Amino acid sequence: MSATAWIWFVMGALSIVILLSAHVWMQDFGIRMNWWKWTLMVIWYGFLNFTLALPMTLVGEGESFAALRIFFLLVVVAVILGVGFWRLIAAGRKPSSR
Amino acid sequence: MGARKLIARFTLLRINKIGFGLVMLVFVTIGLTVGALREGANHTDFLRQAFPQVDRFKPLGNDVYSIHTSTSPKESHRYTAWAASDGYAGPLKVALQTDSTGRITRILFIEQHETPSYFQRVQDQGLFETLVGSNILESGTVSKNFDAVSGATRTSTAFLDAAQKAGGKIAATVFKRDAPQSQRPHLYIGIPEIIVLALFAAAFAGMHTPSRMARRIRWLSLLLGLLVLGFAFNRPLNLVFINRLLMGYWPAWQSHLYWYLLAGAIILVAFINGRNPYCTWICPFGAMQECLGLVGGAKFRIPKRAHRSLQWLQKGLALGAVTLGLFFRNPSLSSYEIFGTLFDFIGSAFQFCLLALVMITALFVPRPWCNTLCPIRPLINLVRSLATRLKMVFRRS
Amino acid sequence: MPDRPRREISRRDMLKIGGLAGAAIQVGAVAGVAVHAGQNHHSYGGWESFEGNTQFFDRKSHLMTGPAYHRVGATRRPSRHTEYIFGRARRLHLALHGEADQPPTWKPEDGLKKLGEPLAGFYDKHPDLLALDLERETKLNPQSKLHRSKYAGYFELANAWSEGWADVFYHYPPKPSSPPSESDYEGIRKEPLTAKSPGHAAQLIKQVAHLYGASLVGIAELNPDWVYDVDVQGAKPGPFEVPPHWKYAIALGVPHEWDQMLSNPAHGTSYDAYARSRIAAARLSVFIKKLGYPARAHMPPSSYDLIIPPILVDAGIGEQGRHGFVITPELGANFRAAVVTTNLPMETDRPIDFGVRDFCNRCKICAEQCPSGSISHAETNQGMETRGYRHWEINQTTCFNFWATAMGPTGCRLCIATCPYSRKNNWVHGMARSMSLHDPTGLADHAMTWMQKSFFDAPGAEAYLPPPDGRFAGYRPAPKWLDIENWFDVKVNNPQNGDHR
Repeated sequence: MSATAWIWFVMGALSIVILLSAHVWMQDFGIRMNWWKWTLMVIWYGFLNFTLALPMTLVGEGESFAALRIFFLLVVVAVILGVGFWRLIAAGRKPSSR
Repeated sequence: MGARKLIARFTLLRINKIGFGLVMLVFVTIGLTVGALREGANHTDFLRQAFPQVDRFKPLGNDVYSIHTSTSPKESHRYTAWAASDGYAGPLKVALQTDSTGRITRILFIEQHETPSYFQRVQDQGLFETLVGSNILESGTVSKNFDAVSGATRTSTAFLDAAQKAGGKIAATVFKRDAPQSQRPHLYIGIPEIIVLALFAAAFAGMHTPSRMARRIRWLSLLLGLLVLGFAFNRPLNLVFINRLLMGYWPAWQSHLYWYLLAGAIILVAFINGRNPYCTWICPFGAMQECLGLVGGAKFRIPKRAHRSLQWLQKGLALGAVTLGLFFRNPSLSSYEIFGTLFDFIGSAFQFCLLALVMITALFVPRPWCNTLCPIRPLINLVRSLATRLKMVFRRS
Repeated sequence: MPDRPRREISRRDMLKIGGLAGAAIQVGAVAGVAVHAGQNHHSYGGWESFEGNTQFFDRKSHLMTGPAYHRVGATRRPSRHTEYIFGRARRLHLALHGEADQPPTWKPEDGLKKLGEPLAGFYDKHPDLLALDLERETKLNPQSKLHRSKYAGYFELANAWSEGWADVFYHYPPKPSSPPSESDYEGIRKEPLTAKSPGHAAQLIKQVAHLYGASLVGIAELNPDWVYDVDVQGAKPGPFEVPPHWKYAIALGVPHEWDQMLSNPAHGTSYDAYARSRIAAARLSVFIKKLGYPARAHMPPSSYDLIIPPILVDAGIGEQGRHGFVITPELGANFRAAVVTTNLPMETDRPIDFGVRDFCNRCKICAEQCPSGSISHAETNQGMETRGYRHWEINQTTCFNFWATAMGPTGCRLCIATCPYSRKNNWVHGMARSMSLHDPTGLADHAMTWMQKSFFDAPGAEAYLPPPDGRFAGYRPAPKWLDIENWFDVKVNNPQNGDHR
């Protein structure tokens, strides 16, 4: 197996850990999850990865200035999306006593 | 709290208000006089700087010069002329150089006040070079290759107009030909003009309706403003137009109808009911912040004490920016707002950082820009207090 | 048993912290993989394989429905002596400076008549072109000589690399020594092999062309309107009929090395892709002869009897762009082409449509960046007519005059470098291409053009000019391996840093 294949294999395994962990986090926050909340979370996490992947690819190509500008733009969008999604997901939460 | 203390605070507040107005007036006057004194340099000096290899400019009249170099002192194969047009932020003067066949070989700015990042964009997109190579004697060729840079249409068209005028001067003086007549400014009433009037009408109506209805009208008006005056046309009120008016670069009303309507409506409402319809009801940047506030909740309030000192900072910024602009006779120089940065995506690195900061803060704090940094609100408030004072004076007499 | 609940909590916390750490690692790894994706030399499209993997675009699903270009008037063949800029420039140069040791035969004061046909008649109709040509000969060339004495050192490595490619032009293949009716048949197999079907023949030719080094191959029936009017190679000067055995045109394309391509017009060269496509075409013409069919290769830099770009359009290699170059789905405008004419019966390809027409109407980046203003800013190519066909026209003369002022290896190629289609093959540009292809509204094109203009630096048209107006800038800096100061202890004037000693 090539090096990149190993990387993707580990990434896949990590995704499971992250999902399980997210489940526990949400329980502790007292948030009841359902399908659309999970979808929003996955979308946001995907966007976060995109926010890094796109500029970093451009850095690899030698377009560092363009990368920096696009990164700033995407980060602002990611923060706004993140706050908005979080308010939707956390709406009506009951903090557990645990 | 004793009554005396209360009275003392009240008078202090009054003095503050009047004081700000007075300081503003003093600064504006000083800026205007010094700025006016600094203007009025010799045009051949500009040309000399622009064409350093040139030995001599021989005036042929009508702002046209023939160019003589040390290698050919007697005869001239090149001509230059300058002409002015009305740009976004003041007069825009262009010098044009042609060869002996009338082909444009160089174009230079000898004076411009455009917003630096917008001007940069126009320059970066090679707009000025698009005219190089066209011939001033063939009618229509100068404008044929021309394509206004999006986001900087006013600068682009003013440039074309000035270049055509300069070309016309050379054509008439050197080649004894009638140049294509440049157009007189014609009245254009478009979507922004109609929308801005409608929004002011809505704001005025909203001010005098019950609060629940008013809330709906306000949101409608803000969203419309955001889409049309913001993203579609980028026309929020900014320092550039205010500075222009203050320093006497009054543009033709036909081409700047929108701005006159905007300023006029604000003054009119200030006289009628002494309120500020623009910031709360129309401003697209304010609308943007309120939308973000809706997304993030915007529950955090600035503490009262901090708010008061921030307001002074805001007034100081507005005053400083206007004075600086007047002092350097450049309406766009001190226009530090980040409206165009958001709506046209044009601005300096600093403006982009500020915009990102403001947008993220707006998620948690209601209208952070309007309450701390925007120069427009203090200026409108000044207009409002002037209007009420004037009304009082009239009523007394 | 006070321990138990605590242990449970700690396991829970472990999972919570582990998830956060996992996310951090994952995001970090994505960033690392992304940097690699940007640097990866597999993304240097067109150079990765000789097996035809380089031509991966599904052309069959994007065939042109209407005509590829519009016939708007009486058509005729192009003039090699006047319309072909290199032909005209050479003739005028010889008249002004004399052939070899001969004295000049003409000076501008003599008047046009003395210049002789065909130039006299042409310049009489186009006095503006005479002025431009004379400007090049009398002003720009001497000025460039001065610049060369000052700045050539900085471009010496780029020139050396370029010359290495160019050497093949003088040796292989030899110039045809006889007219097409003879030289195209030289060394031919006596009995032509008959293919099982035209489809088989086309498939074989494409396979072999790829193996000979062509990244892109397409086949079209030759339209005689693309063949020059006079002086076919190998024959006596004069008009000629299009030989009947020039029935099909096999078009080949090879990309430039990507990093030096982006450094145009300073360090880039035309010659790498010229040499590769030249050799591929020459080899293919021999191969076809050995199958028993006449063949002639029309190759860069100047061994042409026909004009290439319309053949590329006919053969479905790509669509013509605003800058006059053909834009392909795989390589953008970053490729150089050669053509082989033959009468081997083959199935032909059809012109393709992947949205270039609308894109070019909108984008205009090449026109904005062009240092000589040779590319039109017009909304569409409506009203541009060349020899009876409507297509994007550029001002060849001002373009060529800029070549006379540029430093590095001959030419400019800036429009190839700035063209948004001329981008490598990584996931970012792949995504952009596929969005552009599948979005019928044009919004994606609009957004991406805007992104290139807003986020990606470009020196601006003036910066490419010679000092004092410009600084011999390249669209991108020279790749490390072409930067002479990176390898050698030499003292050079670097005009790109504003080094005007």
